[in-house]
Amino acid sequence: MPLDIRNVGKSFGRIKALDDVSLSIGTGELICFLGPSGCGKTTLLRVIAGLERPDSGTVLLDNQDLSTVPARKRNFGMVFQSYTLFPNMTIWANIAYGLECRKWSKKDTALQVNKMLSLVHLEDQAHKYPHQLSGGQQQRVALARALAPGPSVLLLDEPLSALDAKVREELREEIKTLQQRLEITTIMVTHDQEEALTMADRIMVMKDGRVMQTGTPMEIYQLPENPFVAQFIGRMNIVPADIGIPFSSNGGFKGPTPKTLGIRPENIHLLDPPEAEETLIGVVDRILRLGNVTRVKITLKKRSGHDPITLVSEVQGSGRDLHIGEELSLVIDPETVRVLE
Amino acid sequence: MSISPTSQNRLAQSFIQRTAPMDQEALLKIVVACMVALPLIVFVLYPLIHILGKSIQTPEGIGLGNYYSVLGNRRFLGLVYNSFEVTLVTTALAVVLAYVFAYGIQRTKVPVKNLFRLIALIPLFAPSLVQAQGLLLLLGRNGLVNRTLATDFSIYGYWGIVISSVLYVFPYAFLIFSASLAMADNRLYESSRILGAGPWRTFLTVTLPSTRFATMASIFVVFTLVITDFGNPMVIGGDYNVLATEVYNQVIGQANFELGTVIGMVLLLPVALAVAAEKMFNRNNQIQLADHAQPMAIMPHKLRDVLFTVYTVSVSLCILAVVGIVIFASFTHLWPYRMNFSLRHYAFDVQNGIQPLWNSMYVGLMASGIGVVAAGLGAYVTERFKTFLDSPLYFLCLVPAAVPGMVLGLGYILAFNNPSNPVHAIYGSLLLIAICNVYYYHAQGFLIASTSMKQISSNYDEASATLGGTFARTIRKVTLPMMWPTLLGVAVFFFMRSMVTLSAVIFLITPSSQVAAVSVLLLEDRGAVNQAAAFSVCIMGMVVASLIIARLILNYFGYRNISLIR
Ligand SMILES: Nc1ncnc2c1ncn2[C@@H]1O[C@H](COP(=O)(O)OP(=O)(O)OP(=O)(O)O)[C@@H](O)[C@H]1O
Ligand SMILES: [Mg+2]
Repeated sequence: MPLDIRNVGKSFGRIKALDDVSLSIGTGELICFLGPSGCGKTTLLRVIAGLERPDSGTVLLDNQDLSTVPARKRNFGMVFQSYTLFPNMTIWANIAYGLECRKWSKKDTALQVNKMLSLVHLEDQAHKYPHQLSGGQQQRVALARALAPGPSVLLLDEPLSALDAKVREELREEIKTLQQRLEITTIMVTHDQEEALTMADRIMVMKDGRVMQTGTPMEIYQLPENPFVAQFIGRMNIVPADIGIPFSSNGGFKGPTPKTLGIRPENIHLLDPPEAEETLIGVVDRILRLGNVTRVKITLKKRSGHDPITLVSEVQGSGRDLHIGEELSLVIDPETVRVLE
Repeated sequence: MSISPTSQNRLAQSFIQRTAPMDQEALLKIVVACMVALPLIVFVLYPLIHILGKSIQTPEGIGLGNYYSVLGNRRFLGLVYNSFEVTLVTTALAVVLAYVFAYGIQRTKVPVKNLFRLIALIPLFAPSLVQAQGLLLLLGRNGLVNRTLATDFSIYGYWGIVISSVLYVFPYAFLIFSASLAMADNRLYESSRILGAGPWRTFLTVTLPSTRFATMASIFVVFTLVITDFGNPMVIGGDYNVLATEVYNQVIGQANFELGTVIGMVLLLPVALAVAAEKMFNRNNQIQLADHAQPMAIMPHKLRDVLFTVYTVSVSLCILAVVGIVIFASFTHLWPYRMNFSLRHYAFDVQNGIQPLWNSMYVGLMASGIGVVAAGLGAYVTERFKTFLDSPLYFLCLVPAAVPGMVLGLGYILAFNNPSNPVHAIYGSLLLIAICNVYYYHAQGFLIASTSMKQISSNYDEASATLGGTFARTIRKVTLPMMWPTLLGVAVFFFMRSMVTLSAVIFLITPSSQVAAVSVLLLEDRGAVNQAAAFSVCIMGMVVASLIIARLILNYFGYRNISLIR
């Protein structure tokens, strides 16, 4: 079901946790809230869930105002960062909890719990207690518990951050598959950009309680609208516009004169010393070999009126032929340069 | 797939439509918060207002006349002086003795620590005047020492009060220091040692500063306990009167309620200040251990360990001697004249017979039941509800800590011994005595519950709410199953204190509702030391039994780390 967040604001004392946040989420969409720690992601999720009252603004589900609907009547499924499975109940009882709250019959409950258990591949764990399961398993149960009553929206607060890298990737896949199969509107909070880029239909980037940009992963990555997003998602070289880097006026920048440019490291290509005068020339400062890619730090040759400018380039392969101190020319496709300011 | 988008729609729709236009949940929370506040207003604030009212009531109308006549009275000023003299000396002695004892237990290699720890806590299990009782049996005119050495000295008076009070408050101070000294970051001590500091210097620069909040807290706790205690001064004070005994004398002896209330008010002031200060220090006392703090490794040190062992053994012997002699005396035929073994005092061949013991048990059970609900709900509401009533309610829950027991008890007489007050229906009953105990000890019970509530993430409640669980279901299925070990601890706390307390209930008892701790006082007063001792022993037995039962229950369910003694 479509969910509308309109001008939501929330303060804790003097801290503005949310400042005029608006967002429309379509049915079956998976949205990620992405941002640094303390930017208000959890607070927004809690406002949507009805666990926190906003100071201003409204949340609408299917065009109905939820302001006066308490959490327990919203029919949203929520998965918390720290599992929060009821420790005094078995896995089975945990998953059945929401159904009992809704007074499902014993038969239907049993049917649904079994369905949920098989959905998250935990059929054989039904009668264990949460502390007897691994972190990944516990989080799967939490997911099953949230999904069991057939919620209209699924809310996930950093569901994977307490897990180790391998389990995290497995579960990423699983959540995404489940979400698509159930066609359930989903909001997932994360501070892991990779997670957001691989899972989300759309990403909302936040900072200090404000929305910095909302868009598809592609848009966010390739067309960041401000330096914050540019630097937060992937790495982007942020440079003044007047140092001779070529750019086209793509991406719909409408300001008067461009001041700041952003260039992705993988879009800076390195060639042996050039002949042509107008190309950019730099000296290799540092080489970081990361296996299949190599990250190279280059200082541009000094031009009058500027402090030395350092750029990061990423080249495929092991970069065996690169040496520190070497002079190279930088080739940048103007189409890949983003005007940020 | 089982959950089709359309079925989701229908479900959500029906859920939303059932909601009234107003947020009932928020309303319900405020109603419950008020329900928690109401008894606190009726059973704490209302009696206090009556005390204040009575104290400004003079034959010429409302005025400060009573205060003038009391404050201008030399005898009264003498009482104030006495109270402070006893309290300050006791506080200094008890804090130092308990600090060293706790240090020995937590930071040296004293053997059989658990035994010494248990001995240090024994005074908590006994009626609050057992120290004076034991001291008299040992050092009184007819005490063991005078009888065996044929000497003739007397412990009655100032030193009697001080020694018995030190023993009385020792476990309270010990518990505070013990908790504080248990927390230590080994790295601080190692770096101090690496920097070449000797043990004494390390103590001064690392240990002492890290326990300064505990020191302040225990000073104020001990101060409050001593200045409001009246059982020990009553029994062993002789001619040395203090404010607390004077309240009793004025009210019970001379039926002079106005003077009683004025002195009560005078007592209230330093206690309220001490409690306020203690809370202030306690707020800063959320001991900040660094993330990677390492537990303390105690290095053996011959001389230090021997000295501390001698010290802990000596203190333990003092505590054991005082309590042990009471147990011993209860089994003698007629102390101190016929010392042969006898069980005749356990026949309770006195006025009311064994009834006071039963009464104590009923009061204890009722108080633990009511106390768990009152303190548990108070903690739940202030920790979880997030309404605008949180802070005022939190404050209200802690107010009783600042009210001396005698003042509260006196307030109950003034407020409820009045047929037009609905509470009068239970006036003179065991129920009102239980209620009085609950609200006298409410602050501590509330803090125990609220501390443990803080440690259980509120996400569990929220998870239940998002799954559609109502309030009642959340409490029944989620909160209570996680909280019950703590609540059992709170119940034991109220039971224990109800069994041993004297000051809050002394004004409320009637011949038929007498409780055992009061029996001890009255029998001691009449010189029936054997019977008094027997009652004390029975009270201790019941307290210890309740602790053992609770411990067994907790252990059976695997909760070994819940502490029951506070
Ligand atoms: N209950 C609260 N009381 C006071 N301040 C709060 C409360 N909850 C959140 N805040 C503050 O609001 C701001 C936003 O917090 P929030 O938990 O929403 O951040 P977040 O983006 O989820 O961060 P993280 O990635 O660390 O989880 C923070 O500054 C936080 O300190
Ligand atoms: Mg968060």
